[in-house]
Amino acid sequence: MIQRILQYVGIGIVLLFFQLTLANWIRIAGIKPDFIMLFVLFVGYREGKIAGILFGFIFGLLQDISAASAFIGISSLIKSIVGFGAGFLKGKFHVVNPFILYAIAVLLIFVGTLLYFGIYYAASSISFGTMLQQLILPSFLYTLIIGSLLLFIVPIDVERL
Amino acid sequence: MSFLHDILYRFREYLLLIFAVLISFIIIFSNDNPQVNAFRGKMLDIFSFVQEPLLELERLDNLEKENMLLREQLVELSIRVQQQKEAVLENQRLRKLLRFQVESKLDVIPAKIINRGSSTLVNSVTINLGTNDGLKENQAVVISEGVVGKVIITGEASSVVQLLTDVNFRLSVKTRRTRANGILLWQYENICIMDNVPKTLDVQVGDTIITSGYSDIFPEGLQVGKVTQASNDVPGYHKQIRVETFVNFNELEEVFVVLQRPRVELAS
Repeated sequence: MIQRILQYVGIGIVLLFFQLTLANWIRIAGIKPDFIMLFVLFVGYREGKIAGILFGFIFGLLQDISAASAFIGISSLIKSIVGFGAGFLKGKFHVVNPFILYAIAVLLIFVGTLLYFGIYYAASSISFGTMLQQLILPSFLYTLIIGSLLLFIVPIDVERL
Repeated sequence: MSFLHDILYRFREYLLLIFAVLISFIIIFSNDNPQVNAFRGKMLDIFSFVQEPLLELERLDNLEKENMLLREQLVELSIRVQQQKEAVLENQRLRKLLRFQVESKLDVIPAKIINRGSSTLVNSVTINLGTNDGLKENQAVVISEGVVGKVIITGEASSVVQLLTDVNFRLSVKTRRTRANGILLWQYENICIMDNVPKTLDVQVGDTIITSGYSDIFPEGLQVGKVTQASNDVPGYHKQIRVETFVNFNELEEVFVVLQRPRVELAS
């Protein structure tokens, strides 16, 4: 059990490192993929709601602090919710159609991105339409593309790993 | 008690989520708290330690790109400066030509040199005016400094001008001061010889040479050059006179074609 937790912590740290470095190098017009979001989805899907919430909260907080974000706490909030949502998918691989699982994961990424930018820019004068067009959708799509590519490396049937 | 424990266990995931959300909100609303900021500062120091070398690499990469960009801009600016310098020089030349056209009593038309003759027999240039512009053969070509040559071939839109520096060019000239007549012929570079001037006539170094007006081509009084050498220490009856032309034939770009003899002269 401890070994498994350490394994996740290790993956999380590597992805946090990626978020700080690689994400900056592959950003397009200032838009970066959210590796931590994908990590929390992965943990929640594989280990359930509690692990999803805990890892979401901790790594979300670390992400906020490391990114020198204007507000800390937003990512921990969003990632906790996403981790919780991903936890519902645990053990459903052989029960639910994989495409539905994928669609739910996509929905979780979208909701997570929407909530993050919605809260982050709540006090600003940016209209929702502009925010959706210039921040939410590009970030969501970029994260989704990276996540979909990672599925080739980490198969969706991760319960067998 | 066991009922409460049961409830807590049953809804532990939801309770944990509520707890995480609550803590997150507390953190969000404590962003201005000095203690939270101090904590953030310490954590940032740790992350900066990891990020610093990577940022350095990124900075180097950016510097390289910036360097390339600046080099490109430098080349562009350099070209622009050259073009502006060229425009200033052209402007000066055109002003000079315009002044000459206004001040001159001659009926002249400006022309631009579009080609330099490649023939070894005739030293010539091609100008951008032809019969359509009223040009005819044997019309004088001048600039404000002096005589350039004459039109020898005319096309509809361009003409060939035989330069004073052509070996076969002969020009009837005289000195402005003493009116001593002679024939000017080119020798080398901008140096000509004024021939057929008797040794008895007064010609001195520095005298200005002008056209004599005896030819049908060149009106009288056009500047040609100045005497750089006048000597009687040669065999025969004539002086040896060297004349340096006022026109620098290597820098010709715009010229004037004299369409007809001076208006005053025509009237008389």
